[in-house]
Amino acid sequence: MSRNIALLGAQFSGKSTFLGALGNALKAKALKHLHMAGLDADARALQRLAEPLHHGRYPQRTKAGERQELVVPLRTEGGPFGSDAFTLRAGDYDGEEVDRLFRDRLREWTSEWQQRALAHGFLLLIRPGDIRPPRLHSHPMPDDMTRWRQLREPGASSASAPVTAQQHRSADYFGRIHLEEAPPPPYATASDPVSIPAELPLIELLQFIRNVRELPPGRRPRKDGERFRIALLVTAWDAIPPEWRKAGPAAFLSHHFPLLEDYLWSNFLPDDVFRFGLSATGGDLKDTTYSETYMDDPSGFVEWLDPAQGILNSRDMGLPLYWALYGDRAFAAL
Amino acid sequence: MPLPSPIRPLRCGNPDCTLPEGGRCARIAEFSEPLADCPELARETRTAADTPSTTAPWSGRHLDPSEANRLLWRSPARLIGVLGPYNAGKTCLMTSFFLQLANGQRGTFPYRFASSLTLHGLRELMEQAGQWTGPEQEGIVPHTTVGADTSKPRHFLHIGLRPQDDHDDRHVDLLLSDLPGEWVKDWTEYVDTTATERMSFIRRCDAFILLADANALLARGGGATDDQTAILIRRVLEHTQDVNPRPPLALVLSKFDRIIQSVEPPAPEKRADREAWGALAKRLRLTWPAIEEARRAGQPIEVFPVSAFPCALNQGQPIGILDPFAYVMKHADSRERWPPLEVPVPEDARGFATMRRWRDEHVA
Repeated sequence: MSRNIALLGAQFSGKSTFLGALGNALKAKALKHLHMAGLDADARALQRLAEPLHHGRYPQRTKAGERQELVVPLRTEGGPFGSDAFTLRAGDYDGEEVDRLFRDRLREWTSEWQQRALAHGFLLLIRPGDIRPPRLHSHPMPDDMTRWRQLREPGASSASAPVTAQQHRSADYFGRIHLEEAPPPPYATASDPVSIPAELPLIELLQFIRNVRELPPGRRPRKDGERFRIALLVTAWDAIPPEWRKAGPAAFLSHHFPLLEDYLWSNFLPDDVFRFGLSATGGDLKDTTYSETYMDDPSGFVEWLDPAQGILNSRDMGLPLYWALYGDRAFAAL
Repeated sequence: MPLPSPIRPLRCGNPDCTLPEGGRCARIAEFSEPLADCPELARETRTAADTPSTTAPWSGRHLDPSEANRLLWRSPARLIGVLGPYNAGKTCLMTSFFLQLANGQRGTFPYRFASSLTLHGLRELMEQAGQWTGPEQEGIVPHTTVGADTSKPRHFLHIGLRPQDDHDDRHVDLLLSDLPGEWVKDWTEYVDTTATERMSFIRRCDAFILLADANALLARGGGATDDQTAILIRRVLEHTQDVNPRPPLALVLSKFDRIIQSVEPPAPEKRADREAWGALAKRLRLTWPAIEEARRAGQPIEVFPVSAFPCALNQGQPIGILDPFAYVMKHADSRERWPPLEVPVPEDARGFATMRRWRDEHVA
């Protein structure tokens, strides 16, 4: 049976841009080990996504109700992979599909979704609404008594240890980031806002996927037949502030989507989840100068944290797909 | 005479409406009788033939008693009875607890989020809380109502947890009761057939979080709140007297931010001392003896000052939210630790005896 990779993403996650850019790179044979294995009978969807990028513009967000499954037959070739055929499926690529599924699950949890749930690997695209500044990991654990005192006497200073210049160095922001894949988020101070988690639709979707695969909650799949990989892609990575780029996608996700990270930690082996930063266009196409550059040299990049070598990057946008298929062997192809 | 056609299920296009599942019409302010008047509400027009063969595995709303019961068979599940009168802040406490987990602010709570069958219900509560602008505005989350379908009320929130300890490979289903305060009050005052039926889950509870509005306690007429709280503690004691070990009980003095200028919350180690609660001590005239009675009966019980929403969500953090949950879970999810196996060594096995002696002397 041909292997499938499903591409999922919530609203505004940049699925259309990634698919358009990937489609163009495939047509231009710009990816070293990834090639098209033919053309689906209906190539209009891919064409419609790729076309605006030729003019240095982002593809338009798919309108709600335009329901069409995007199917791209692909094959890997060379390097450590050999010749291997698989299919990339992008659902009905309407940006609101995951939110709609969350809201109206009676109608939306279709047999098509259930088929997709059996994919061999998943690319999960994420884009945060607000980017928070990084916080020191050495910030002390909150003490409720201090918070009560501050509430009683609003001017009272916290008993927290002062932050030294040494601690301010960006290298110290996330503590042992090279040892832990997803470091825990820092403790909030009394005046930090409480955020409503945006990732609930994605978590619900992952729960549904596990339900179709008959995986009970909390069981980390270990057997060959039941394991599957999830590549998390933080999109528009080029627009992420430099201190976050330096910390890497794992730290970024852990700070912005702690509930999703907890869910993944609780339900998957660490080897089956990997976090990438993805810039499908390599820069902001709304910047006219960059848009011109992009039209001359259309390329994007992928960044990730290597436990031994720190932050690495590659212009091969096929890397998350290689990883979803082959796991860490994918990095040997670069 | 032909039989009337069966009543077709309700359906509403408004994503905030929970009326079809026994909840509340999102436009209740406009239509006092939504079943008759709300234009968004309609009966299902689909026939059996065109109904999709597949539906979502769960609704995402609060669980009804039969769904909760099914989960309780899936071991290990922990049922926490969150009880208190109307407006005590039960739903606020649970919403704030989930927000803390969702913000990665677990503190010393030794579990991580692993699943939930009620994410839709939780999101509705969080979004309501997000619209609250501060203490000058009433109503942070909507009061839990009885719902349209009283035969199957949806009153349980579910959060699956996984212990943070790497050696503990369990998934713990946590069920939290989210009942209308009127039901709790009715049951507290007079246990008739209806109250027994509604509160039948009480005997299965692994722990209790009882809430008393600290602001109401300190206000004029606070004696009534004190009285209600004392009776509630005694009612729980009475219903759990045959349970061994006795389930833990956390008494949460909610909305503590509103009395913070009058009462300084005592440090954790002093909370068992009534006098440490300052001006509040006098207002716990009936509650404190009930607490002491619970202690004498062997019921683990502690008192916690909590402020679930001291300010709008975008202005700051809650205080003390995780403590009552950590406390009840410490008892409700405690497991017996078996002593290490110590195989008797025969008298003549000198080698083993020497090794064991060396171990006892050199290994801590």
